[in-house]
Amino acid sequence: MIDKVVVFDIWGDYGYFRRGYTTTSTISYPFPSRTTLAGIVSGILGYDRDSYYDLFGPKNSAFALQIINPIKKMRINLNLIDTKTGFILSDNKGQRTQLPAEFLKDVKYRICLWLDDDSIMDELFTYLSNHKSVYTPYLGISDCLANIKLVKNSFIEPEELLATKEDIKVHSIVPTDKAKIKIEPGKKYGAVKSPSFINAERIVKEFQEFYYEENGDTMLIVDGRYHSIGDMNVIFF
Amino acid sequence: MNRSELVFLYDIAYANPNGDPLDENKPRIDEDVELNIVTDVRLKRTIRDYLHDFKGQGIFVKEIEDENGNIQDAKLRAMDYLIDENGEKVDITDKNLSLSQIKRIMYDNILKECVDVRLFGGTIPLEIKKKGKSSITLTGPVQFRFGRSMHKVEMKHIKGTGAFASSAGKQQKTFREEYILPYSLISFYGAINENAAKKTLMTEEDESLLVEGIWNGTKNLITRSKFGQMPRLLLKVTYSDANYFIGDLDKKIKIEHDLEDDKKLRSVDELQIDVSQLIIALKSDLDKIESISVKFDPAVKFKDSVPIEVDLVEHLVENGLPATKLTI
Repeated sequence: MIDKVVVFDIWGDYGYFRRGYTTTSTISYPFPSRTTLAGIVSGILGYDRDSYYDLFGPKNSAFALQIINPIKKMRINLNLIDTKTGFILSDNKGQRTQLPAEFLKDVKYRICLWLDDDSIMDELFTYLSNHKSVYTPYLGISDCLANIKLVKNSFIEPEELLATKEDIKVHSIVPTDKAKIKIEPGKKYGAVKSPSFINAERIVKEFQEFYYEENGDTMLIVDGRYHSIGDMNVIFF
Repeated sequence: MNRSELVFLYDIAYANPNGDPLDENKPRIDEDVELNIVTDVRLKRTIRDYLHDFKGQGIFVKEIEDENGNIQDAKLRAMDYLIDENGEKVDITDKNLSLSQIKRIMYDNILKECVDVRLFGGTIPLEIKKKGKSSITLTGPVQFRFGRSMHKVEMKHIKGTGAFASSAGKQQKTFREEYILPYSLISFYGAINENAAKKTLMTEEDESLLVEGIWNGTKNLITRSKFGQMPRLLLKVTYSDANYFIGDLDKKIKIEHDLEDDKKLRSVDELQIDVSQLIIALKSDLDKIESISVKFDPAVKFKDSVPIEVDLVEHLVENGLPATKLTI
């Protein structure tokens, strides 16, 4: 039961949410996966690496994500040390490895979070309302330092609604198993599957697929459940 | 140690601040906005090299050759740190020693010896025969965003002749070509996280080394492509309120000039740095700020919000801010 949510924005010059298992090594997701969102929140709260996965399970937590800035990508070629052959810094050929990496730029997302644990919700709210974060927040990798801001100065009680006859405008990304979308002309749609739940060994247990609109525009859903939060409609995942 | 945010401005004239290895070593440019980009890795390299070459500090990420002139790999490099309290090499074939114990010894030694791991963290791969594989992962307390020029830049293509022929028996010297920027004033934003510092055992002394490395490392980097680099402004805001930070401090510093086009900028003399937004932000969070340390190059001119005869530190102090000169 999603009874109250905390809503905050996170943004930065660059973001890099690396996809695993692609034929091209360094493509970024257009928005952070659920596992990344859990990591960002845990960083704000100061939880240690590998200590927080149970807190963000499918039953005791829910996220919704709105893309605020249009998804813009740029290629940054990284000159990495090839650690298979060495931590090498000379110009010897083959000792360094060059990697074209796809970064996102001018990134901004709005994140809604519900946690079953009220005390952690209170703690998170206190941190965000004072603009505090235990660890430095970043978007995907630590080279992409981010800034955060609480959107509303109180918890928001979402109202759960059902889309049946009418088309409903939704502001968040749409999990494909939660609702059907209606294609509108002039919008750029995408679908992406990203990891949602990992176990203590950091092995992905479940992926989820989402529809999103590249410019952060709203999407129409024709069938499915959604939540109304203040002036926006979102679908939790 | 407390949370700090850093802004570092430096410029470069007729040179290449950070070449793109997959694009003819051209300076990195975000084509949409025509801004020059410098990776955080480039700045970290500058700091590492300075701390190693001039301050005699231990650095993990560096090049070491073995007896045969081969360059060490990361796993072998990690083995350098497998020594006990008496300075003796630990016998990894010892059956009583588990992989996690070996990892602990290395972990302790690397953090003790290597200032770069204490500052920037690192991932250190371990592979020991019969005992398996593992790695040490540490997130560094000091992180930088990619640096960006504060103005639009244009790239120039320069051709010349080299001093030597390309191979024996040739009659002519080689041609040489390169891409440079006539001018770029680059702004880096960074954060120092006191909580992550506890994990990597980063000390106040390391912080001083970092600041010195940023300034002097940039100044002393006299390779051909980096000649003409000059540090211009370094600002460190340290907070007294735990876990608090203003964020995006770099966005509050702007430049102005009288030229019709950013791309005509050729020197620091032609621009003024505007710190008025920064001062507003710092003043509104005065109760959360412990100290502000500033170093700037005397060649820098500030916009008329800072009168010419007054220096920036004095100006900040006049605004009620706890600013001091950063001594390096």
